[in-house]
Amino acid sequence: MTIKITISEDSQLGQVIKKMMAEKKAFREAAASGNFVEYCKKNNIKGDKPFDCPESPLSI
Amino acid sequence: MYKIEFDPSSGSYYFQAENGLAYICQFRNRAGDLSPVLGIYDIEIWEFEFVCIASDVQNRGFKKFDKKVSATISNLLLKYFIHELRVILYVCDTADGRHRERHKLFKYWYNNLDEQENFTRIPIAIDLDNKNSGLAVSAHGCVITRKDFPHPEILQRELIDKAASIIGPKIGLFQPNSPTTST
Repeated sequence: MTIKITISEDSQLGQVIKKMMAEKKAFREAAASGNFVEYCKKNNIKGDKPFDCPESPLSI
Repeated sequence: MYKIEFDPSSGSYYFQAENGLAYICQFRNRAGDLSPVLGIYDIEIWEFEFVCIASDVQNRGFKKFDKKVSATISNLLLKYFIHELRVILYVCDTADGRHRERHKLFKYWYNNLDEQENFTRIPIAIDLDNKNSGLAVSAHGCVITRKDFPHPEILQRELIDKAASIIGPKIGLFQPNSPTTST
């Protein structure tokens, strides 16, 4: 069963959803840019790190 | 499965598949955006996002099915769920018209998750309405927790019901605690 939610864009939660959508769009634009890492740097797109993992610069 | 690495400059976990596609995943801590009650219970809500990029021109647009991708994503998600208070929020918006493809792929990965019986997935559908312009954005996704997540009622109330209670009673579209079914 899917929970369906309708939210007004004017509401506080609506603003949170808008922010999430904008970040998603930016993330996809970074992927489509042809230079993901540079695009992320220029546009301040950065994920968080919930767990440790070997670090290595991405070269795309 | 493929080796997962972390790129510190973009904050992305990534791996390179044999079919020439690079899978890039990001987690975003949503604690600051959501109800502070979640923090009182030490509940961590992280949004998960992914893209795949053809790392060479020949493979652009060609996505040969690769079981190792599923195994690698499964490993990534299992690494994330290091304790029972973690929640994944996956939301896929419709803006680029490829939401169904992404949602289907994520659902496939979840269904093939190692130890999937130890997890709970709640699908959600969100409509974001703009009263002035009448434009609406839709999003589909899910909330995933471990089965031993100790506060399902808090999560239901603070993350799911609160969204409905903001708008539902005003316009009668949605009643808290009585989710509508969608296909």
